[in-house]
Amino acid sequence: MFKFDELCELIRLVGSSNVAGFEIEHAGGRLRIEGKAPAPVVSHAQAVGQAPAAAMIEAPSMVAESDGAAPAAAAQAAADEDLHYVVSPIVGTFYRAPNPDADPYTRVGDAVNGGETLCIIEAMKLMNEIESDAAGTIVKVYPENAQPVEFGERLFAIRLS
Amino acid sequence: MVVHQQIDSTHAWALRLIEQAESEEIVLPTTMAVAGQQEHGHGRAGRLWESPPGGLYLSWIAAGLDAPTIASLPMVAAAAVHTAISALGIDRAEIKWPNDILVGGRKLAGLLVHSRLGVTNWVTVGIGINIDRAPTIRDGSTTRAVSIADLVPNGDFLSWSEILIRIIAEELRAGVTSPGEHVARWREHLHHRSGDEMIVRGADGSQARGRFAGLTGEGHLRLVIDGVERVFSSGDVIE
Repeated sequence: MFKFDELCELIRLVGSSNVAGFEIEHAGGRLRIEGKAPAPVVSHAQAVGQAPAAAMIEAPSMVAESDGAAPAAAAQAAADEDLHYVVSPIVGTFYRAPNPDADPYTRVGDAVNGGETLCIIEAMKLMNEIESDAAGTIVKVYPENAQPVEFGERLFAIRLS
Repeated sequence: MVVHQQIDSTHAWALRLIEQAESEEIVLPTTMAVAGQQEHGHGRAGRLWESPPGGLYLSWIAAGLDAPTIASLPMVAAAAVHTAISALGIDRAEIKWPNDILVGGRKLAGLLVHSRLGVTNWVTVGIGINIDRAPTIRDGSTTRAVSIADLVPNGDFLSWSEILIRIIAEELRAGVTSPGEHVARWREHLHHRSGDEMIVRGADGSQARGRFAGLTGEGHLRLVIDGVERVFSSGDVIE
């Protein structure tokens, strides 16, 4: 009979390898572990000591999580891949418009072209116009108007077109 | 150099010139636009920049400067204006952070730099100097204004303007070639002394009161507030 930690180690090894599975007789018992993409999930209580074959059982909860989460996570990952972040090139103060009475350079939902002015970052009365370095649609504006921003801080998220 | 007796603003004119140069793919040489009056002069964040007759308003326009040089321009330009004003015989001029020019605590000149970083980096340095009269300052500070005419006994608008324009152009040209010396002069002529109590007003209207503790390497303001140091990259020193 396998000890618990030995069994766990065997499961871990199969899971981390490309081995499709294996079967072993040991100390009067027989154990079979099958690898199954993406990784084998085994209930040791069912695997141990069940002769002639200990079936590999996928934990229902894991399956449920995987079935439910994988498409959503995959969709999110795909969505994030389409996002481009414009970050602040300097420390300064963020302005969404050229002056307090003017409309913002851009709003969420606006289509922008590469080279289009998105905002101003001011440092020491140097008003830096920040241009978009990608074409797409603005999906998020991170700082509030007239707030300080740090170097590398996200200013806009753009869904690439 | 392009001279206007009256214009909407030299900065707006500069932007039109830049747009035209970009659309026609013209390599624009360094240019200066000068006006004796602006209808729509503006300061930081679009605030009205009083531009009545009796003032000298100019925008210096340059293309192709690298980002570090552009970042030094608020300091380089202040040093340039300080040098030009000193050449008129005014030896008490000081610089209020980041780049107002004061004489005896009163404002003589103000600056505002715009940049656009892209395929071609563009920069405009806007400068306003009180020549014949000192307008009322409406930026919420306690600062009052002063003019060249209040300080220099001999000369007139044209003779002073000619000297100021020539020296500012020379100094800016030298300053963007080698900013270090100009930045050092900017620091030397700063109005503030370590330990001075001051109030800095942020763009959102918030105010911070503390003691001046010097500058960072970039020229940002260090203020000690209740024993804790804060660094300000922008804001108005209002007291």
